[in-house]
Amino acid sequence: MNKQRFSLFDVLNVFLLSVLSIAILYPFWQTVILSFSDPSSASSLGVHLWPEKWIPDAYRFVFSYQDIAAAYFNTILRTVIGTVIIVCTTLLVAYPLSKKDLPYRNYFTIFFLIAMFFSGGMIPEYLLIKNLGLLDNRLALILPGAVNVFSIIIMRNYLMTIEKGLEESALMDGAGYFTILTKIIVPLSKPVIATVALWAAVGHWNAWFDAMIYIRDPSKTVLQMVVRQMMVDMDLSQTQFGGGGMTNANLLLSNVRAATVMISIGPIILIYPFAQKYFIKGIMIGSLKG
Amino acid sequence: MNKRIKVLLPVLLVGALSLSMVGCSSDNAAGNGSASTTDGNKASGLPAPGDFTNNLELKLSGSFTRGKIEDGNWVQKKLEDKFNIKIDNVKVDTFNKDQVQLMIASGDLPDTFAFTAASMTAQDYLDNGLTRTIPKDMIQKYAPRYTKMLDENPPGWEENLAPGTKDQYLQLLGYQGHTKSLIWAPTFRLDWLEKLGIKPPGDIKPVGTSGGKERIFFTEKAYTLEETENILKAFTLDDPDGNGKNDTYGLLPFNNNLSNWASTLMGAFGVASGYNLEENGKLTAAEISDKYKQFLKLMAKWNKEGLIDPEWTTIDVNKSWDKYLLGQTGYYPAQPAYVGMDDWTKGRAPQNLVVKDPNVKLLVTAPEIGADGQQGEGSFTPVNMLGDAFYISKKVTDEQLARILQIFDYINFDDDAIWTLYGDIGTHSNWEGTPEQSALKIKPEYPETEGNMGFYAYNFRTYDSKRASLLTSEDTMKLKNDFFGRQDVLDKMQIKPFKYDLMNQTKSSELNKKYSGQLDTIVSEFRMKAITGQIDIDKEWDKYVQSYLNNGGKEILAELDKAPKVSDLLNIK
Amino acid sequence: MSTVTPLAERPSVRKTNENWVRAKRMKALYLMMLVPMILLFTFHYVPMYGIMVAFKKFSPGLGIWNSPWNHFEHFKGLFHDFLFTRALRNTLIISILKLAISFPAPIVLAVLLNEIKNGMFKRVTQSISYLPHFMSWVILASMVGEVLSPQRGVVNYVIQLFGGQPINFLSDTHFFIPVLVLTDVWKEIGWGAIIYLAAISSINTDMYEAADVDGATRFKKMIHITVPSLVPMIVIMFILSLGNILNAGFDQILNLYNPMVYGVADIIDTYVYRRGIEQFQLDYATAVGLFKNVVGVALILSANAIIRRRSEHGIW
Repeated sequence: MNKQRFSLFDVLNVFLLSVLSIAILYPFWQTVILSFSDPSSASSLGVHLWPEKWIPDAYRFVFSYQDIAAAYFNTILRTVIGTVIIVCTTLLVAYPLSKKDLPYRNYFTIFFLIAMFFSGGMIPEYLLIKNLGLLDNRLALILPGAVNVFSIIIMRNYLMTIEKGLEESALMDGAGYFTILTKIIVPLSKPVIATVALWAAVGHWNAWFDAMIYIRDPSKTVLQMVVRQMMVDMDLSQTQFGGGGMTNANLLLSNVRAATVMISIGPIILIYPFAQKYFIKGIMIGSLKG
Repeated sequence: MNKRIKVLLPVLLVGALSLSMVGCSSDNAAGNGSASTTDGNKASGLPAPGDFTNNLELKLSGSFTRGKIEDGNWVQKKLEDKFNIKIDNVKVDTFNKDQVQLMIASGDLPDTFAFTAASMTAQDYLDNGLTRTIPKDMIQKYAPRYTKMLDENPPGWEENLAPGTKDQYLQLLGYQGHTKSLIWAPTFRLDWLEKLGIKPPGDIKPVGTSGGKERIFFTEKAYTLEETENILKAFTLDDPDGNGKNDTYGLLPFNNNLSNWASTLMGAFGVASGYNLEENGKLTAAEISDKYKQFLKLMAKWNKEGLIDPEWTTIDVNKSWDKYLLGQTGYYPAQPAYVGMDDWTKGRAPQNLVVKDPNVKLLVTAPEIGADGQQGEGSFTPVNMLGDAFYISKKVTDEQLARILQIFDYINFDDDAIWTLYGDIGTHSNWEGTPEQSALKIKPEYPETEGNMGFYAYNFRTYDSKRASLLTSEDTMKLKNDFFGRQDVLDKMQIKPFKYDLMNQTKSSELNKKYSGQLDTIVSEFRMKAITGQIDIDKEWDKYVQSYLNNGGKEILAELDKAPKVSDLLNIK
Repeated sequence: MSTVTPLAERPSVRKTNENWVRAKRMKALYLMMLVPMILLFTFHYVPMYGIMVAFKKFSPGLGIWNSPWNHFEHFKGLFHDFLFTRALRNTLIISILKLAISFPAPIVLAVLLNEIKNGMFKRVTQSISYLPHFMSWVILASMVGEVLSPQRGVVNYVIQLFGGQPINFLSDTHFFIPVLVLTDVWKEIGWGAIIYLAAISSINTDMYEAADVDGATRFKKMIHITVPSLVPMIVIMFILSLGNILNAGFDQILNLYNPMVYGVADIIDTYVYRRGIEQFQLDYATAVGLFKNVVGVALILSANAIIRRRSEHGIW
């Protein structure tokens, strides 16, 4: 039926999405150029699509300024572990709460919901981490956010829509709930698991505030803290008598900042096409079964 | 089911709250540093100065530290040996508001601290039970050099006396010798002036001999505001860079730090940002004074004539440095250290352009002269040269305090202690120019501050003229000696507040804290809209002043009125 | 009802007993929730005593527990402060605009992406659309600043090509809000679409096939099958975003605004930040935070109740 030539709708659709892609990409390309450009040409008037010369000075400066490798390692570590934990807790809570016949279900739902809206604030949370002895410990970056209520709600609602036939027959066969969760529910909900995982991973990748207040040891810091230091703290004009100034007078602050941006998102852009393949595959498999 | 949830929600909330309260009361006690202090203790029962028999553990934080200190650093080891102490380093970025705020709010403070980012007053710390007072007899016994400094800078003792006491002090103060100077000076593109045929206001001489400094010239004379306006016009309209395009501007302000970019311009109207003044026989705030209004009107006029780079509203001071580097700006304010090219000023305008482009020449002048011959800028410190605060935590015992005072006195006031800042001269650092007369520079293989060496990690911001000179290059020093730091220049050009609550006699600082968020919003919004011509200054002025007064301004001024006049404070001997 | 029914026969009690029996049978499900509940309790409920600060005059030396109460003083003060009420108004305006524009945008994108048959094109477009989400506003704001710069930015370059005057978008009260909404769309459209794409992928393909047999056009299928099957997800997301109505985007605005546009862009969070965090008024900031949360919860509860009354959707 759909094998005929492209309809007007298709053409329009492709055009629209291409415009969107360009609009999204343009600022990034500009950043790439800025990070490699000679200061004077980068900031001159007009639209630049290609730098006159590729100059890596800004990157050299950023790499010499901070221990980027350790920051990368810590960020990857927290992202991987943190994501796995969030996906697990989300499934463990969403599945029981998706059962309409679970007694006292609403009390449990409320228990989780309240946590989504109210929190005690920075000071008691800091005191808690301190009293648990987790200051300067990477666990302080993972445990407080281990349960994500938002993901739980999304997952629960998704689970409520999937068909119950398979599950019921498994119950009849004497399978336990845990077996059903891992053997039946998880394969059926791949798309939403992928979504939750992606949310969690990006959340961890971008998090910096917790690292700022809980981590003191520079070898345990995360990438976004380094980015922030380059973007925000480099501003501090009060660092009068303590260095912190730029040592290469030929660089613009904006060159350095652009390079920092590229360093922090570079790996994502590189890994993304591969990860995306699996991600989409996950969704597709899910849709075939669903 | 929904109704039930609605009913249950508050119940559950309360339940959860009370549960968590029970769970947490222990956390709380732990966070409350409940160690008792021994007030009014006599120094007589304590070890004599120099007697370090008991090994003490001290939790120290410096005053410029950024939390990058490493344990077991070079300075730490030497200090530990010298004073028989064990130092527990505090890794907090004293410039970071959130980190500092958490430390304060959780009561988890080091034994000594001086947080840059905190906005609490000495009185606040004491009232909140975070700090202890320092008895006079202990200061005199254990910190003789500091004692001498306070004696020489009246009313050094009185200004930090704890209220209701005669010999208990709130904090340790610093002598800010490095600020004994005019801070800002206007700079003009001299190559443009030459091209346009405009003469400098007086004799000019180069600031230095190399590194671009030979192209920066200085004159003690100044342009008048009117002359400045004409120059800015020429800079904007007469194509001073000769590229045939109308792409240059006179002025490049930025949307934060008014006291940087407008310091001398406001000075030409006799008003300084943030300082109160007497106008028509009444105390008023700078931001609602008639002089400030005149300043705004001039800026609005300049903006209308196109002399101001229109992008200024969206760039901050750092971005303005980048923008200046494009070479399209004719006028930019600079500190003497910027044109003297001290290390810490690298990359800042206007020297960044001088370094980059060998054709650029710069002229530094004295502050512009206003209509009534007014000339100057706000002084860095309101009364004397004392400022900042080094606090002693509530937990510190008298024995610890005795040791802390001796360390403090040594590191900050003893000429032998320069190694705590620069290591061994020759090994870790070198003189930049003439030995003993120029700045000291750490060798590139060592971290300039903190890190594994621990330089600048335990000191306090107090710089007598000797210490200040260690930070300052020879050329900058010369500028200061020749003009910017000269006593007659300071007497003539420093604008000080009319009244100042130096001795904490009024509630003004408390009120300030309460209202400054609102007042800042009102003031900065009005200023930017006024300058960019979005509002008519004459029409909106009364409404603005009223809004300022109604949102706390009136209360603050009424309280400040009770404070002593700065001119009287300066006469205390 | 004055007659006394025996306890065991009262419907509620009978139900309780039944519940217990069923609960025992399903105890594995409760066990599953145990660890997450402990985690949530420890790291979320235990620190909740901090909410008390909203009703206290907080003194760090005394700690949260021992600081003196000042009851509702902070809350009373809020509505006497014209800057706060202005911030409240701005927050609502910005939030509602974002709900009207940024909220549906990802749905449209998801539906359009779903119609793309070329897998490669679809994948590339989708990848690109996520990109801005990976970055914080500190970074994005500097990009936005470059693009919109009156002197270097591409937007003003185009305006000038067509003979217009350059516009300083970020300090113009008329343009600032549209910029906020558009950059919000720019950052979140691709990311927001993920959840809808996941939902689309679970639509039963039989439905499309049946429609094909009936000779339905692509457009008709899109409107009559794809969109309706997204409704449950849209409802959930809408209710949840209602709860955020008093969060108009702190990070975004903090990094983009300047005093020129305070009049339209100063939201509750930025105002409280300038007042509470910069000036150390933690108790005040906590009070405002609590106020926002209560409003958010109230909105979510009522939206959920209304929607539940009209359809079977809802978040619980």
